[in-house]
Amino acid sequence: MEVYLNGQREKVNPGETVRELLSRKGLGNAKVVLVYNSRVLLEEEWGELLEDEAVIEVLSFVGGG
Amino acid sequence: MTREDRLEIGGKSLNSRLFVGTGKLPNQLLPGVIAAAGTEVVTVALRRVDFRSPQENPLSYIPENVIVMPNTSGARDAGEAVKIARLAQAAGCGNWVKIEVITDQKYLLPDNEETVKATEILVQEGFVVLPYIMPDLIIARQLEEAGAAAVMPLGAPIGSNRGLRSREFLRILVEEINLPVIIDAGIGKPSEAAAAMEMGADAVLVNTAIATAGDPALMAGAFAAAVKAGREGYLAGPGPSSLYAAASSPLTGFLREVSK
Repeated sequence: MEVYLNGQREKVNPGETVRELLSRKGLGNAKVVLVYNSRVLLEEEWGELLEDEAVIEVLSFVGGG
Repeated sequence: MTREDRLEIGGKSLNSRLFVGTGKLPNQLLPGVIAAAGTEVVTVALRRVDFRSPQENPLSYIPENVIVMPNTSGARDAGEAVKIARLAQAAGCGNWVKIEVITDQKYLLPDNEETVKATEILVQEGFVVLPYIMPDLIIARQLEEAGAAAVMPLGAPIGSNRGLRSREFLRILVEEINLPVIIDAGIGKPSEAAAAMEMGADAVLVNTAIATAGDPALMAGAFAAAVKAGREGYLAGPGPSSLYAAASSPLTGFLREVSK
């Protein structure tokens, strides 16, 4: 099973949640903005199961002018 | 200064007329720079996380009483700018947004027409919209009509530190537009910020000049002083200038006048 994560294909395990994926990518405690299939997922919704072919954008605020 | 001189914008009343961009600054320097600038509005950007080297979020380094204004940098048209603004708001960044729509990669000049489109949409959605524009009177009037909270014309290309190259057109906006005019981009030195304020700009936004200074916090303080001096010079009303000299001291009673 695969998802698109920030434009890259990423293998995920069946039954894996959004939170588990983030944690596996080293973002366990990071403050990020998560867009799942064009919908912003609030942190309390990160327990949702990943779906095959889901498009996930993980964004963060950075310095900018 | 004893008289009340505040900048009213987006329902807020600001004491500081210096906005600061957080780009190119290590997060650890942010608190010192923000304190020295005395700024009440800072900008941030929204980007995809790089999983190989995730960066720390700058928001944790910005004091709570400072307004965080996300920009829409990276947007190439109105649609992308609107999308970024909505995401930033969903991410808990309030409702102020700096519209930045750029397709030119050499000079990073803003696309005025797409900026107007994005402004129209986001104002309808309740955003406080501050569009970054080429200093163009007709576009600025359209933005005023669309309900922008301010206009942010450039002095020179982003990050160039070249000063008020567009001076004459900035002056026209200051004269004709009934919104705060915030000179954004290109200001490289405190003297240029003072000059912008002296000509009647309502505020300036400075990023690169502070971030690339040898001592960013010291430079932030210098900009704060320059903005204050320029503003007070404007409010005081500069005296007339002339081509020829006008003696400051009396032209009578010279000591050489010896009566015989």
